[in-house]
Amino acid sequence: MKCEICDMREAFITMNFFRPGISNSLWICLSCMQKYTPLWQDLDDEKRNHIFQHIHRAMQPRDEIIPICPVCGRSLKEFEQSASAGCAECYNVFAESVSEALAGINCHLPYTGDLPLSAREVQSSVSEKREYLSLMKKAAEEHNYEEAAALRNKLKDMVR
Amino acid sequence: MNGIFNDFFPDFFSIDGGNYDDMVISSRVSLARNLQDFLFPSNLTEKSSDEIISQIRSALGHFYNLTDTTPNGCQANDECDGRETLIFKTAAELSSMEANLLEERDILPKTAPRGPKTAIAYSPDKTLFVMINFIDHLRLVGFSQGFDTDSPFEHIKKIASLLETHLNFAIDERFGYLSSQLSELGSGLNFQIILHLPSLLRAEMQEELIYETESDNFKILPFSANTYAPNLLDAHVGFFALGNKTAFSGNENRQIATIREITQRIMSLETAATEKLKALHLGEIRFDVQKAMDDVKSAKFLDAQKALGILSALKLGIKTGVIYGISHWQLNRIFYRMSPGNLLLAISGETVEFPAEIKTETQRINYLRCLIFKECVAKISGC
Repeated sequence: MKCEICDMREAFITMNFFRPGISNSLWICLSCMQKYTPLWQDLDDEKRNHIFQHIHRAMQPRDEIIPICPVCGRSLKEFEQSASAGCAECYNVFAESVSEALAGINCHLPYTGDLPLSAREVQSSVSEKREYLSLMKKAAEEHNYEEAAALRNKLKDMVR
Repeated sequence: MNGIFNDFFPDFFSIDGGNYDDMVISSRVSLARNLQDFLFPSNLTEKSSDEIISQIRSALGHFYNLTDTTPNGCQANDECDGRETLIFKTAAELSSMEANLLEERDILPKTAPRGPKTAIAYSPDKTLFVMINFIDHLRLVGFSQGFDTDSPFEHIKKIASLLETHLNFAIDERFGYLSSQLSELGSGLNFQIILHLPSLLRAEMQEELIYETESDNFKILPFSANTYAPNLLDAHVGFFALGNKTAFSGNENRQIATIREITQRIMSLETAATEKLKALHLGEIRFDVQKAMDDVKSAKFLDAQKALGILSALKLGIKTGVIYGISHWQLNRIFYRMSPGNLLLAISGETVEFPAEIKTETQRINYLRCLIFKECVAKISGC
């Protein structure tokens, strides 16, 4: 992928910008990273404006909202590409994708195997998290970002 | 040869036995579990890693006698203090050779994500491994020689159930046990059966293998010199690894039943192909086995790939009645003993005298591997 600032060199890192429920990223090359990011206060106005334009563009909502796990920060793309989760909450956030992946190999929800004796207790905790997640999504959709951020923090606090 | 060896793994090949050991080298079953309210290992902080290790160690301590080294006088799976013994080490305490060996056996993941701090507990006979913070918070691995998925499964399932009384595992009523890997979501079960199917390979029946495995969400890969070739058509020596693609299809008992059925179907195919080979191509087999033995007699060094080919030829020789004097389990044991990691441990653990011209580590490994085969071939009659 080409650097989104110079549009010449191969991108080396991504800068991720997060708003509850939405993740946007800016791909930049090593050279631009060294040029623009280390000492923001030392940049002249021209350079600041230049990078600000790119950050501003990256922050704009794109056509497709990319779901991201509020607890571990894993995006749907990462989850699907690696076929691995960063935390248990990923399975709540990406439940649809998991269900589709399983259906693709003729496995259908719900799981019919054995569960532990303490399952009920654990399930209630999972349900509680799912409720927070649903409220957080709703708050983000209504542009109530402060409330969404507070709910995200509550979710994060539930996990070590 | 026993005298110069300090085998790390697997001691269970020291005894005769193992179902269908003409076709199955070993069976491995693993069970993945994660603790509730912790990030998965790839995202853990050092503090949380330590906390998980401590919680699991404490839970294991209720049922096992945990020790840092093999206790004196305690033999494989001895019960000390009324409880079985597990040797517990943090990853930092594992020697590089031990870690290398565990990677060779696919017990330690080579590249998969792991937590900043990891630990391992294993039974003295190395048939049970408890991996902490590798891929998942807890991974129980059970081994058995020959074809036997039931006893390692029963063993690790029992431990998981005992641990469940002290630990809260992450579960979801829709998805079952939550694993960091999508492929292990559900029961958390993962199988690996190492098969030797030389007759199917000679008859170029790899497509039948694909047919037998794919429909049930299982996969079979060629095994060569401790690596897996991605394509079944790349199989050259007749060793294969059979495993499941998902842990979500039905409950644990059904998954165990499915792997049993698939393995039995594959073994029936191999048996039929062997009978055909015996009837039509016994001369060719005799020639190949003789060539393999001559290669060993004239060789001074054997690399892993060449040795695997020789081992395959000798096993086919026994199976078709061309040679005798040695058994499948002895050859199956060589399958593990000849791995670079095990040979390196043997070299470092004991005083082995090497000819002066042998200087590099690779030469030593290949020399020692050749000695194992020479000793083996000396016992063989027939051909």
